[in-house]
Amino acid sequence: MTTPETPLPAPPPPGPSAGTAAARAIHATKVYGSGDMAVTAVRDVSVEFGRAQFTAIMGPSGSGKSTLMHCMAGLDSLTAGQVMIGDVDLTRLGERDLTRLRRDKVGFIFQAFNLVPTLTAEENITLPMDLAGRAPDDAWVQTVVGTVGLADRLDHRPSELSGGQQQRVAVARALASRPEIIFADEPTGNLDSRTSAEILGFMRRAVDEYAQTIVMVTHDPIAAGYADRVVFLADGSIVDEIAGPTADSVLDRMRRFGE
Amino acid sequence: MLKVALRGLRAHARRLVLTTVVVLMGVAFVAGGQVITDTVRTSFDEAFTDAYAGTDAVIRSADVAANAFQQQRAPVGDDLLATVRAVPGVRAAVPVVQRPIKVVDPTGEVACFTSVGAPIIGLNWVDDPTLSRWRIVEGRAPSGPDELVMDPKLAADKGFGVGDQVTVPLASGTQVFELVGIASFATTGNFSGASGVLFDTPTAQTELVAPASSDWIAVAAEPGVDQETLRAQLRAAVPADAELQVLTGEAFSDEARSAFEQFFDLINRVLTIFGIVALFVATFVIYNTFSLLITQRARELALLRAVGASRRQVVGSMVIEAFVVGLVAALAGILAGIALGWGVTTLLGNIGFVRPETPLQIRLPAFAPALIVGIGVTLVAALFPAWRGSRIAPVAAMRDVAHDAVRAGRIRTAIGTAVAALGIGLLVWGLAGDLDDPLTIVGIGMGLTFVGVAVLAPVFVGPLTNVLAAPIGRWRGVAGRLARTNAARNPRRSAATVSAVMIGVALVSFIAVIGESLRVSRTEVIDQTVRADYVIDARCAGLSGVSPELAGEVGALDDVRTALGFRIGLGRLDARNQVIIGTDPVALPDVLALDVVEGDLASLQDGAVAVPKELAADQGLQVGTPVVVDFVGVGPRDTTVGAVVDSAFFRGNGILIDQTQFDEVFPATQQTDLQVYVRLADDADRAGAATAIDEVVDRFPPASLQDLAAFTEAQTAPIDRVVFFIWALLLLAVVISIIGVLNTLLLSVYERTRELGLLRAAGMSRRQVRASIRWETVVITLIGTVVGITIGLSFGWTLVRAGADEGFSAFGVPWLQVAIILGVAWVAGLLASLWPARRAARLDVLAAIAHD
Ligand SMILES: Nc1ncnc2c1ncn2[C@@H]1O[C@H](COP(=O)(O)OP(=O)(O)OP(=O)(O)O)[C@@H](O)[C@H]1O
Ligand SMILES: [Mg+2]
Repeated sequence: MTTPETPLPAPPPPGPSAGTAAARAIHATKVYGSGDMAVTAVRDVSVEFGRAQFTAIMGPSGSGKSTLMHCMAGLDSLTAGQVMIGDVDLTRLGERDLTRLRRDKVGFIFQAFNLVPTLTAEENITLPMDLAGRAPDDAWVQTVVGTVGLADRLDHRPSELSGGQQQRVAVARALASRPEIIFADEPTGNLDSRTSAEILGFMRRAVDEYAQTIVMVTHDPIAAGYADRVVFLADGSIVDEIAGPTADSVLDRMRRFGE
Repeated sequence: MLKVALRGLRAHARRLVLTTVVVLMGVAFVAGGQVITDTVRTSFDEAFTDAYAGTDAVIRSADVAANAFQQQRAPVGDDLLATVRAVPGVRAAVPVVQRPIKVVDPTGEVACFTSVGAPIIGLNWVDDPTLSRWRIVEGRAPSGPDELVMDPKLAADKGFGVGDQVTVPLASGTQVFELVGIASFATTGNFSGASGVLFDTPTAQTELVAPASSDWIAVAAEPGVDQETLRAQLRAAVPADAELQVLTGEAFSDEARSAFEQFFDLINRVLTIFGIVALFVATFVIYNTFSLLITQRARELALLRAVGASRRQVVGSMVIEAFVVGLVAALAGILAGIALGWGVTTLLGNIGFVRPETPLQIRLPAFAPALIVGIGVTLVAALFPAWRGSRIAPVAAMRDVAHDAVRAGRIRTAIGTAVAALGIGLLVWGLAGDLDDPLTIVGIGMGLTFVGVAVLAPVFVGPLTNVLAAPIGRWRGVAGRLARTNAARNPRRSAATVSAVMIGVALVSFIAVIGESLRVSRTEVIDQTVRADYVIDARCAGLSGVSPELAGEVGALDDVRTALGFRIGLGRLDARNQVIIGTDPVALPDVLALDVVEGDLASLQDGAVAVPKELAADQGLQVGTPVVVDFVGVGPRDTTVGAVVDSAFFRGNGILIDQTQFDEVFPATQQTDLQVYVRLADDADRAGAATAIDEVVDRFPPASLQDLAAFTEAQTAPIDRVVFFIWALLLLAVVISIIGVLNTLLLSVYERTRELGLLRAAGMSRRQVRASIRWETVVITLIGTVVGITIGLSFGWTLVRAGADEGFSAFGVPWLQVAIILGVAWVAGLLASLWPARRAARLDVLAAIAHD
């Protein structure tokens, strides 16, 4: 299936009009180090991630994808600009509120080392709720576990699971607490294409069936093809976007950047 | 979060084993000390209860003087007995004699109490079965001036049997008695380790106290008369002006007990202090373990933070881990302490010190301090690493965790210096100032100094490693260079390990310096003041020495210029307890260099006293000042100060009186010499003189002849004993610090698994891996040792400076001990490296590379 390329309008200007966005960055800038050593990882980025949308972020290595995501997820702080999750301005939150926000409103899937090695799969899935001292919504957890197909592996430790299974547990954990937004940094980076397809399939279903918002960093055009929209980053700035991408259209665009 | 903590604990349990052991050892020491003192105390309580169970009242003289080592109480005369026995309610009253005694065993050795070992006590045989718990188990009771009985243990130890002749050196001269029976005290044989030798009452009185006099009169009541009533009756009956005390049997027994009570309290305190020192060292080991665990789990902690764990929760989980470790270690430590207590009290039981029927005293509430300290130490030590763990940024979950950068910043230097300075300040203040409880201040001062140096350690460990390890690097090639960079690469970790070693070593060398300085000071004093060529020493503790005939016979020898005896009694000068030394003031300068600051020693012959200048300054005495000297048993006598003397030898202790006067006021048992100083004539044939003197001395057991070297040796030997004893107690802290080194290295090897795999893959041999770990360990241990020795010597120097008027006239560095400490540290480092080195060398290369 190929979709004709449609040039997209420029990103909407920041402002109160963006009420439906799950997360937004407004003139976000992140500089590491200072003086001669300063590296601008993210340069004046303004972007919105719509609710119940699956957005992919792409760009060459070192272009600032991870940095942008970490800042938007409240894992790292901006040098300048603003980040909003829903209508909460992260730049105004203290350490304690940021922790609570991550716990209650944000889900994560990393490339690897997603799981606490000493806890079982099930305990890892309910970890954010345990930390919050909340009882997990059992029916929902069952649904999520069913969706990712882990029902018979719940008592296993991460070391007893394959890489693909571990990532499924990570996806299940991200979904289990029904966060407003899930950030995934190269979640399939370590997996073969079949397992990747499964994981991406689950993420897609979460968006379609449960209206989950997901932002995913990837280098893989096929993975990006699962998204509703692709944002391209180069040298810390957004340089392009594709709506309704396919693997081919993404690949095509990447070739044009000479990547 | 509790779940996370407990799971983490289970997963790392093996890495926490040594930490647990370290806490366990400290707690076991504290708890064991408690069990031992409780058991020994109970045993003594039972022994005293046993001994005085049938005694309802005691009458004794109120005239008593004491110093730190001995007590002298005036005896009571038998003339009182008739009065006492006539008091209504009195069923029986007997005189009791209880004095130290000496016995010559069949090999010719003199057995007596010499401030170490068990006392031997001379007693009078009392027939009344309620007033005495001694029972004849073989032969018969002593009767008449030539018989004695003794307890079964003494008889067995010295090889005496009923019918044997027993030689007993007495004040009146050496006498031979026949052993007519064996008497056992209660059920235990002897009195808590103290041996008993019993004579009939007149003999005991005459030879040990004075004819028809005893130490106290023990009274048994008629049935139905309670102790208090009896006491009141007796009080009313005995002459009020006779300076007599009437006590109930219970009060008397309590008093005897409380004298020991203080001793046990002291023992318990000493053991607790050493336990705390050990736990203080353990703190560094715990700190290091948790720091390492946190570094190793940084990614996991960051992940927890990323998915929403608050800092509090992260700290909480680490604290729970530490708490569980502390709890397990403390409980196990208490069990180990009970086992230790059982072992030691069984040993003490074998020498009769603890009664076999006394059960091991396990009082659960008494373990509370051990439990609290064990858990507390673990928690405190884990707190800082836990806090640091909570500072790990959540982003770290996604990035490779950066290695602990060397942040030996100015802040660290400033804090470390400030804490160390505060510690040294407290130390100096505690040593120099006039404080009620200087020991606590000094202890806190030392503790703070250690903490300060430990804080500074990361700053100096790197440079020190380079200095110390440079030769090893050159000498051992790649392995040596790796050892050196590894030792320096994580200064904070090496620093904590180094600090643990440092503390143990510092204390060990501190004690060694004190010992050496005391020895040097004492030797110096003897060298400078003793003009005698030989000293004849009565060796045994107590106020009764060898007959003055000895000094007379030695003095009559051709080659001898002077043989001067010294005798000792107790009394009061202007109502303050004093040791009273009786000697010949005119002959004195012949054997001892004595600076007469004021007055004239010859005045002593007219009944004046000589006082040391310290006492004179203290009490405002001058030549001519009228003083009242109250000799025990004689009563106050008015006299004047005839001379003020300055002698390092007497160290401000004791007042001098003329020997003739001494013999007038003190009983015959004390008209004996504890020491005789012998100075040869200038033209004497030294070898011949020694033989001649020795022949005389041999006839006066237990006297022994010492030349000046032997005398000095005998005077300094107790210092060595104390140093050795403290060293033995400090061993625990040192062992703990070495376990700490082992622990750090094991954990480092674990952490470096991947790196070691790479090295092995790149062609490093097992032998090289082992060598690199070995040298790393040795370097770290040696740094700790060198720093420790430096600190120990500095502490020692401070103490010696501050204690100049307390007998420290010189500062001595115990080079031999320092060399031994260095050697032991080297060997300990090598031993501690064996296990980690083996671990590292046996890693499977592929698995190691795959290790995360
Ligand atoms: N902690 C840091 N300190 C200094 N510079 C950093 C840090 N983290 C990232 N950078 C720099 O910021 C820039 C962006 O890094 P970032 O990790 O966001 O890139 P990325 O797009 O995720 O790359 P990749 O696709 O390789 O993961 C890079 O130049 C990187 O060197
Ligand atoms: Mg990245």
